[in-house]
Amino acid sequence: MGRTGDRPFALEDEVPLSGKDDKAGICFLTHPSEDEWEEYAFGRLPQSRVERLEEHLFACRACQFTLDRLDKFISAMRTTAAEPAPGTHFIWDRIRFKTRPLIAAALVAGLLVIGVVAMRSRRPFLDTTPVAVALASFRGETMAVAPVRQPLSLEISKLEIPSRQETRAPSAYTLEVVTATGGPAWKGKLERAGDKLIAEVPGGLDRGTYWVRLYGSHADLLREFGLRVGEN
Amino acid sequence: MNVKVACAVARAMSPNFQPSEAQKVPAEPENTPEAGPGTNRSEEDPSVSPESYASLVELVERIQTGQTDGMSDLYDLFSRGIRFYLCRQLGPQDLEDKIHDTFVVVVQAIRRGELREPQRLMGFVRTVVRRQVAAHIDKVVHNRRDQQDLDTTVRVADPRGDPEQSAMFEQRNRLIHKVLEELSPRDREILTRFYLMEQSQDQICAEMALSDTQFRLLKSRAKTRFGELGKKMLTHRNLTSIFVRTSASLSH
Repeated sequence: MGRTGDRPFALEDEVPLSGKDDKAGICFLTHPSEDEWEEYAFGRLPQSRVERLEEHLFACRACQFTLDRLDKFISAMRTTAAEPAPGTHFIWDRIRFKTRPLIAAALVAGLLVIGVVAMRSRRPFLDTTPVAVALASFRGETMAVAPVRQPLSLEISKLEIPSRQETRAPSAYTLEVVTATGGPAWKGKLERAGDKLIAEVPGGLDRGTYWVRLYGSHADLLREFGLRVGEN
Repeated sequence: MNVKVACAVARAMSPNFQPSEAQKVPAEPENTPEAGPGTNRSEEDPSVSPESYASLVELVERIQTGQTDGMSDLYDLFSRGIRFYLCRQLGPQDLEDKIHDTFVVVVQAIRRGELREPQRLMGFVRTVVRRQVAAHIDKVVHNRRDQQDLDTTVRVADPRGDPEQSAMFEQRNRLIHKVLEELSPRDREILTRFYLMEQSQDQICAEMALSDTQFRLLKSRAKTRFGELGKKMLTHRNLTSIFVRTSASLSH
């Protein structure tokens, strides 16, 4: 590989206008292409082709000029690659090209996962379908479970209603959702749907444990149900 | 014609002149294995006009008959190319001496009739020059291996150059980086793969799913844009030579 450093002459000051050296009378009908001179500069040409190019080079000023310019360009690019400019971070450029698609795919997948998790944890402006939650008054380890901040459709079976209350209109009942410490979370009326009473909680609930209290027309507590939001 | 070279050539024409081993040259240009079986090394280069080959034959005849204008024309024809090649291979040190040695060998060989195919003069000169390069490298390696400089007071030049050169180098570096940043990702990738990572065209085409034509077009366009952007940003004359030639050469 040739050295592309200092030059004791200034080729760039003598731009040849043609391939003919008038004094010696050599006229070149064709010249190697710039791509070929580049391959020569990189040392990637077969030896047989190198011979022809070098014979041409000795007598052709135009190609001497071309090769000199290419040498300067390649040298500048090589030194730039060896010494990145201060303050710049070509992290992406330093990653091998073969691994870039994998890295890009992993990043996109990660962003998708993060986006889905983030969306599911936020207010459900994207998914407005209420999640049906069947409330049961049996205390114990099993509590009704609901997703976080999803619209909820709290369902109470008719069987949960005391017999003396069955004939009352649904509007006679009030459903209240309180936090584990008794603080109010939501309050609303019930609607009949078949053999169930349903209350819609459009904004959903934050993560935590709640008590759902069913009140009668006289604000009497008829039933209390447990509800866990955000945990399976 | 360089006076020094002219005198040296005249001295070499003397029958008493004895060339050194490095200056001796085979009678014909080397035959290389890569040329393939059956390849006739006397085949003329199709890029050279027939009239040019005739003029080479006539030039050799003039040198053989001792005409000084023949040697002058030989010098004018090849000195620049030999200087360029030797400097590229060995650096600027002792360049004139090496050119002088080359001409001495070539003229002597022609005068002795060792160039049997005058139309192969260019190949002959190339062989001589390559022998000069190989001999020089061999000499340097030999000296480095077998000789020890006893002069401990010899100063060693700082390879970093003077502060001005360092500043120019840093400025050029920053400018090239800036220009690369301004390019489109595809243009930057093409230039980075080919010039910084020195990947071959085949490899780049395979990994970027490009045909040969697409690759050539993309590389040409990327270099043109690189040159155009560089011209807009540069201020230093030395940096101009990189960007001006890069874009100018691709515009025709």
